[in-house]
Amino acid sequence: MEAQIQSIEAAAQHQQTSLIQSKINQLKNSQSLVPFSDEDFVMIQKEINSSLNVPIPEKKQDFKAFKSRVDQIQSKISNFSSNFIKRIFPFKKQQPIQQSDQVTQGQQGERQQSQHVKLDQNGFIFIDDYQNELSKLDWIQLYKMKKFAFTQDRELYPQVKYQVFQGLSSLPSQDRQAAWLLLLGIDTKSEQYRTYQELYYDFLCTQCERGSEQEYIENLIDKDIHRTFAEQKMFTEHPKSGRNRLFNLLKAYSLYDTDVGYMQGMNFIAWLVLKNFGEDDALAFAVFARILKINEWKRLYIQDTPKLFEMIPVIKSFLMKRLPKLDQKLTENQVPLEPLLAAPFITIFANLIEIEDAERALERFMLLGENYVIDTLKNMFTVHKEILMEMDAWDLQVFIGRKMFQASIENGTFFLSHTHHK
Amino acid sequence: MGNCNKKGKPSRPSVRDPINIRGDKENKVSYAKVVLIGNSGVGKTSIAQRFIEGKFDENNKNTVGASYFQKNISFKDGSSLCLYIWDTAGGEKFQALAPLYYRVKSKYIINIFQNAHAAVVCYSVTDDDSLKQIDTWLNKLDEHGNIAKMIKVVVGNKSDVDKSERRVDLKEGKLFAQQRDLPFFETSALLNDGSIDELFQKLASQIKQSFTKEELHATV
Repeated sequence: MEAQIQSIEAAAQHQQTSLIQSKINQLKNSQSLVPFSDEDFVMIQKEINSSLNVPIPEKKQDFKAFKSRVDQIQSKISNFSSNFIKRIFPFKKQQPIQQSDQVTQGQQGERQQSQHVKLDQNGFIFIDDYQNELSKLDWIQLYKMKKFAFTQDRELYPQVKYQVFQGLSSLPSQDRQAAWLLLLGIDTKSEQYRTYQELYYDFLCTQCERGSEQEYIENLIDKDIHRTFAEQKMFTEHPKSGRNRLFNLLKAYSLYDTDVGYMQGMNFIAWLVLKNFGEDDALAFAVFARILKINEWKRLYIQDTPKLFEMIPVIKSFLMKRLPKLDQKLTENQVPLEPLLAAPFITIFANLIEIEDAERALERFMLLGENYVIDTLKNMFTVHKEILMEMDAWDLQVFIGRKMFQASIENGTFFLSHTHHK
Repeated sequence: MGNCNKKGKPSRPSVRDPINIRGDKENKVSYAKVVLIGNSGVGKTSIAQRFIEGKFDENNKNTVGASYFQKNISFKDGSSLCLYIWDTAGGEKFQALAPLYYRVKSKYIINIFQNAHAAVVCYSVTDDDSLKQIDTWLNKLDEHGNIAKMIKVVVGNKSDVDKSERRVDLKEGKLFAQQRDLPFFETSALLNDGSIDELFQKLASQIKQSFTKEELHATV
């Protein structure tokens, strides 16, 4: 009898350990909980790549002198988000939450895992008993308290998620700004942020040489300034006057990240950022740069857009498994998903739906990362599968490429409930 | 927006088609795929919009990836041709997508020039570089298109601009097209001067002449 109980206990323990292990793996694989830096990404991406066999494109080296300087400065910034590691492995040894034996058991599993990773002791933010009402999160207060590690707070995280899913548009602008900074892990009091600031003003003062690649890039940006939510009449100054904030932001980014430079589509995201950071352009620059770090999103904007070719197969395999008839139909009709679904990824839906909705989408993206976009697209195919099945090859393209998005907004299926995203 | 519905067929109950995307097509209707290409900012989307909706939207957004439009063209003999227009992004990084489709070598993945019956290659009369780039675009068509008799036309857009802003004159554009043995049009998407309707009318007639009924039934 006793032996039986023991074996049951052992089995339960084993189950618990493997459950936690699978959760860690899920976190690692989802890459979606928090924005993180290039360095963090490479660590995880290597694992994923080895299983998927996706080549990471080699970085292009032009602009050498400037680049080396930027690299130098960037190395200073790189630990900006070093607490990503802490978010992946949420519990540390000294963490005093021990509610039950099971939790302790679980922590051991996680501790083992975290021994392989060097943790920055100083930067760790410890959350204990923060509690708040579900309906009222004081973002400014949370931000002052530096709750950047909210994803590992079992009480705070659901509230943050709930609030973001409710939408932050009704908040006063300062609160909304605090919410964005918190979601993105930007601490304006940090030295890293001051480096961003310095960098931004350095970039603004940079004049490109005639005939240089940078001049070519700035001309591209110039062309898109008046094609970015132009009806809002927000950034109407001449792009090269030095007073056009949208141009300045995109120019600064193109100098900051020379692998990317500029790609059409970035302009819509930059516009949304500037709309919400009206007074502080350097802060807007930091916010924009951070958004493009989420799940290495910038790899959508580099040569050959490798990220797009990694994410579309996720949608395809979903169609194959879950909507096999639709998948077959798309295949038979040779409907190319890459160009059709380029815009929702590259602009995070921004050029496909109304601005207010685009802001909501962007906020969810800050919280959930690429899985937000992927889940939303999967859901759209599911919701519209019947009508898609009745379309011919031509209409399929018009619908999937353009009409599907606003149609989903209109029938109330675009924004999934917070329980939908894992 | 014009669509390709043909009268005569009893319309299906709209329950399954709440947003009316689907058109019920009879076999008699022919379809053609047209791609609009050219450098960023020459006005490809505005050309499509003028043709489809008969208006000019000064608040157009730059195209990301590709956008799709359809419009039915009627001929004097009573027949019609449904044009499916792929309005593509001019940005260079999007151009990089086309060869990639080939590299992946999956049946599923095709490039946007495949099975195109016609290509409208655009430049802006305010941008001499966009004219020079026409050759690059024509090369891309040769490289990635699979229909040998694809119809190509050269279009100089923004003909409405002030003389002081013009960088390519009518003659220059004409000569350029002539040297490459291609039809030439100068258009204005801004003005409602009929230039864009004329372009697509002529293009549609040309498609109708050059392709058989069967060829205009092929899938995308």
